[in-house]
Amino acid sequence: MRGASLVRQEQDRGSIFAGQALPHLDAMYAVAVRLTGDQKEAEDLVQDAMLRGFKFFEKFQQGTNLKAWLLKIMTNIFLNKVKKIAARPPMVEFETVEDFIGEAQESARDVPSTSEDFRELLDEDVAKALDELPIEYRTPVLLSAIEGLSYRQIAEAMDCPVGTVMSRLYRGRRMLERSLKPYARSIRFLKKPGDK
Amino acid sequence: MNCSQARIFLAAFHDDELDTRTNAEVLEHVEMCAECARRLERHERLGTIVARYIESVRAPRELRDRIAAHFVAFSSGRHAASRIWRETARAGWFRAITAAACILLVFALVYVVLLAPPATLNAAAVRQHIAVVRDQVPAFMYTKDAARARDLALFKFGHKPSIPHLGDGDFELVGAGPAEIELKDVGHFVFRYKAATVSMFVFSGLSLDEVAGKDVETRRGLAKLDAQRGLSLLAWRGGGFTYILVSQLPGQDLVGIVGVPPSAE
Repeated sequence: MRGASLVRQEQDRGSIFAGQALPHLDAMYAVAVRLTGDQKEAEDLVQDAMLRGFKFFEKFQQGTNLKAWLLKIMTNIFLNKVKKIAARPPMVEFETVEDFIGEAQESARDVPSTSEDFRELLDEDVAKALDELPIEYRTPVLLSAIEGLSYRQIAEAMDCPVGTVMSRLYRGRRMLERSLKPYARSIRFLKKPGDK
Repeated sequence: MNCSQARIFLAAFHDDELDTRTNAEVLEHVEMCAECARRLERHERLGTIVARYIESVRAPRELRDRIAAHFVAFSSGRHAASRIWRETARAGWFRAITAAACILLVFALVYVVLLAPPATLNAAAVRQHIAVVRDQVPAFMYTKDAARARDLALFKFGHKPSIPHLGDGDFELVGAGPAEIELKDVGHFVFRYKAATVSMFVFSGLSLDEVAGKDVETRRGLAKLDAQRGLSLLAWRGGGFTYILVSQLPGQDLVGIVGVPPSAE
C-alpha cells in the first residue's frame, strides 16, 4: 500500500514538473540552438536539461524563476561539454588571453557609431551573427536576453564571477553589432564605406 | 567617470544590474556624453534584437511531444517504456556498457553457483555487533530481503527519507520509548523507537570513504556526513554484514542507521 503511495507521489511530481517546465521549452530551445549551432544537438541538450531538472526538481525553490533555473542547468551541461572537448589538446587558458582578444578586436575594428539601426534584420541574420561570436561571449549575450535572468544567475551558469559576465556581455554585444553590420548594409540600412 | 570607464558598465547599466552609486555615475556620464549615449542606445537595440530573436524561435513539435510524452508516461506509470529511455538504449555507449554488464553477470553467476561458499549468517557476530549498536544508537534495522534492500536504496542521497517505510514489511515499529533491540531471528531485527524522530538513510554496499562528505537531509536541514559538522559516522564489517551507523554527537538524537549485508546487493 505504501509502495503504491510512493509511486503516486512520483507520478504527481512528473505531472507538476511537466506543467511548470514545458512552457519554457521554446526559450530553452532558442538558446540551445544558438549555443550548439545545430538543431539536433540543441534538441539533445534541451532534453538532457529537462531530465536533469526533473531529477533535481526537489531542490528547486517553488515561487522562484523556473525558466532561469532550467536555463542555468542547460548552460552548465553545455559548457561542461565544451570544456571537456577543449581540454583534449593542450591550449592556452582562455581567461589569460580574453582581455587581450577583446581589446585587440575592439581597437582594430571599432568604428564610429553610425547607428542607423538593425530594426528590420531577419531572424536568420541575427542567428548567423550570434553564431559568429565566440562561445564565451555568445553565452552571456543569449542569457541576458532572457527576461528575469540576472547577471548573478548567468555567472552561476557560466561558473565565472559576475564581473566577467559584465565585461563579456559588453564586448559580446559590441561584437554582435559588428557582425550584424554586413546584414544591415545588405538590406540598405547602413551606408557602405565610400557610399555617398 | 570617463568614457572608457563608462563603456564597461553600459551593458550592466542597460540591464539594471549596477549598484546605486555606479548607476548614478554612469547616468551622469551618459547625460553629458553624446557618444556614450549613442553606445547605450545601441546596447538597448542589440538587447532587444536578441530578445526578439529568442521569442521568435519555436521548439520543434517533435521535441515538445517527446518530452511531454516522457512525463506523461511517468505520470501514468509507464516511465520505463518512455521514448527517451528507448533512445538512450539505442546509444552505442549504452550498448557497450550493457554488453559488459552481461558478461560480468555471467561470471558472477558462475562464481555464485560453482565457487562461492554458501552464505551463512554468523549469529554470534551479529549479537556482538548488536551489543555495540545498542550502546550507541536507539534504533536499528536490517533486512536480508534483497527486494526490500533495493526498495530502500531508492532513497539515495539527496532524497528525503521516507518515514512511512518504518513498520512496513520486514520492519516492525513497536512503538515509542527508549531504544530496545531484540534479536527475533537471524537477519531480522525489531526496533523500538518513536518513528517521528527517526530519519532513515540507506547505505548499501558503500565504503566509509564513499559515504563521508555526502549531503544528507535531516529533520534539522541538510547535513554533511562529517565528524566536523556535528555528525559522527561509524562503519564496520563483520559476520558477512556491512554496518554503517550515522548518528549525531553524543547526547543528541539519532539521525539514521542501516545495515545491509553484501549478499543482499
